[in-house]
Amino acid sequence: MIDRGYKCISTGNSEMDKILKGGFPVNSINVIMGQPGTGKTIFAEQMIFHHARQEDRPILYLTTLSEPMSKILTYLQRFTFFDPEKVGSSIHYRDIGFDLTEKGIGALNDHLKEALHLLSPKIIVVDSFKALHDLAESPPEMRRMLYELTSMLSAYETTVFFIGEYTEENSRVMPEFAIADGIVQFLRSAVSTRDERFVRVLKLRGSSYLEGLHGCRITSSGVDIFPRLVSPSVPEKYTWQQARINSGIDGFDEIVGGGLLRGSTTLLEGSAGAGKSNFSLQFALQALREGGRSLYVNFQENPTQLARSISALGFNPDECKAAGLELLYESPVELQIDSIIVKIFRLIEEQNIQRVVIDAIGDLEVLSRDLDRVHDYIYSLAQHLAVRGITSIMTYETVPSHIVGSNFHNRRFSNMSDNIVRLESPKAPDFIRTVSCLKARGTVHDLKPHPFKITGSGIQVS
Amino acid sequence: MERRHLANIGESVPDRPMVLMVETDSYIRHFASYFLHEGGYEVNCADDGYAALDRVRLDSPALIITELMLPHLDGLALCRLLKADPATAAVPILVFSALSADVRALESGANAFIMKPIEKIALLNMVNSLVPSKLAGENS
Repeated sequence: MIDRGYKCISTGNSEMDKILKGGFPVNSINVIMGQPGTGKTIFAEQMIFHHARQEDRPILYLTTLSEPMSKILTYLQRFTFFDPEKVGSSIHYRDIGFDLTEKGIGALNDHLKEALHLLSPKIIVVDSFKALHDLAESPPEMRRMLYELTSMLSAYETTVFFIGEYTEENSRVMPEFAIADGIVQFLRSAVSTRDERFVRVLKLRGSSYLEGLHGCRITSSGVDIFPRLVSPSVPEKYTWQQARINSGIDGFDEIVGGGLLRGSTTLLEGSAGAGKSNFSLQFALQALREGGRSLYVNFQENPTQLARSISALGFNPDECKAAGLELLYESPVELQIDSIIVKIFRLIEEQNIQRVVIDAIGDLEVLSRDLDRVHDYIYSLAQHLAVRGITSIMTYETVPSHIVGSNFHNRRFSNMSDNIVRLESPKAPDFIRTVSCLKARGTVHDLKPHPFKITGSGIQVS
Repeated sequence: MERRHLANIGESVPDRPMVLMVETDSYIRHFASYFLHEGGYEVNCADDGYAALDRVRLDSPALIITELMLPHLDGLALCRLLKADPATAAVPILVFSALSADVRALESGANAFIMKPIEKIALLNMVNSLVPSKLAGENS
């Protein structure tokens, strides 16, 4: 896009600004839509308090016929972004519900005109704009009012937000959606016993915004947003790395031509008890031996259980953490893939991580209703890690070969990984465990199964 | 909000510097006039380029503010005509437009360019910088 005087105002939320590619355009009219309880009012309030802290021009917040102002303020005070000193000085709340019912919907334009003269607001919020439809005597009256309002607001440098409990059907027929420069939708849906929240941009004129559903949640600091991971545009300096790293597993590196290639992604598959967690923990701990840092993301073993696994390999868990092992445990009950991915990237950037383990990507698949979404995320994650030169292992639990079942999904993951390593559980009659490399992109590798043992110091391949 | 300020719109105060606003958008005319009046100026308006040429001769404005997109005679042509006429060449011109055309405006003789929409402080600061200070300062 060509920047011809295109100016943005921040949402006060750095992740939402990334999605909008800077924020909302200055002097735009935007609709924030969503069903009750989705977070749209909190999002708007968070934004205006952010701007109130900058102390330049005032902000006008008009409530129509949704909730009394006192009720809004009562609940607002529970959020950390709320600053009582800004109310009345920087942020001017006005309840115009009475005027609207007495004088009709044209009263909104009268209030706005007066505010533009006397207050020169930087931001105007109308909550709820949708309620005006209930007061309009006819659709043409609503259209006329909206036309007047748009003409007036276009004349003055102010950015406007219409908040409303709009449905998707409303967005197809109500005229404010046609004149809006931006439309942001908040959604909430039930997944099993928990709720997932999302935000998505439906329209933003003049911006190459990030499309799709982005995860979000409401915390005491407001709406926390997790932009959807998309594959990176590969930087010019990115080249496939030929350097190899020590996997940390005795006897394994010879199978893959002398070590895993730096920046590669390995799918480590095997049935329950095959040794995947041991293998990947050893891989992560090897970074510490070399003075590096690693991140171990896991959804099955809580921190205590994981500490026990680390101890079983002869390491002191506390010393490992001090030396650079980052453990990220997410309860499977609360899993939301967007938030996990954002946390992973925050840790990678803050901690200068060189190795990442995700144990196990199948958990993400089981807990998500949308398998395509999981696969898109894993693919993009692998691309981001490769660009950063971070070597990763993603484990995947398969159905044992002697049980009739389907390992269909890991075939989709296999396309995204550079290497596929399979661990076979011990089977009768000799109860030998084996490891084999099914695929290793860009390097010679040994396809034969190799026996291995799990000893007190970890996996040893013979 | 103080309602008393709104009563000042349109009240004529003699001896204030005159600004001629050439603009078709009624809301831009309305808000700009209000803020300029508040800033110590008288404002007359014209809604096309030829009407503006007539008013310049009648009003002898201290400043001309013009949009570029005008009917009949556009803002760039208006700038060129005003600067070519010795009687109006000295009147400063501020182009105030939604069209990002600052270079073309300055090449056509405008003294300054400012993008729409209106922002009160930015507009007044620009106008004050273009009108000789003794006029605006003494009479506001």
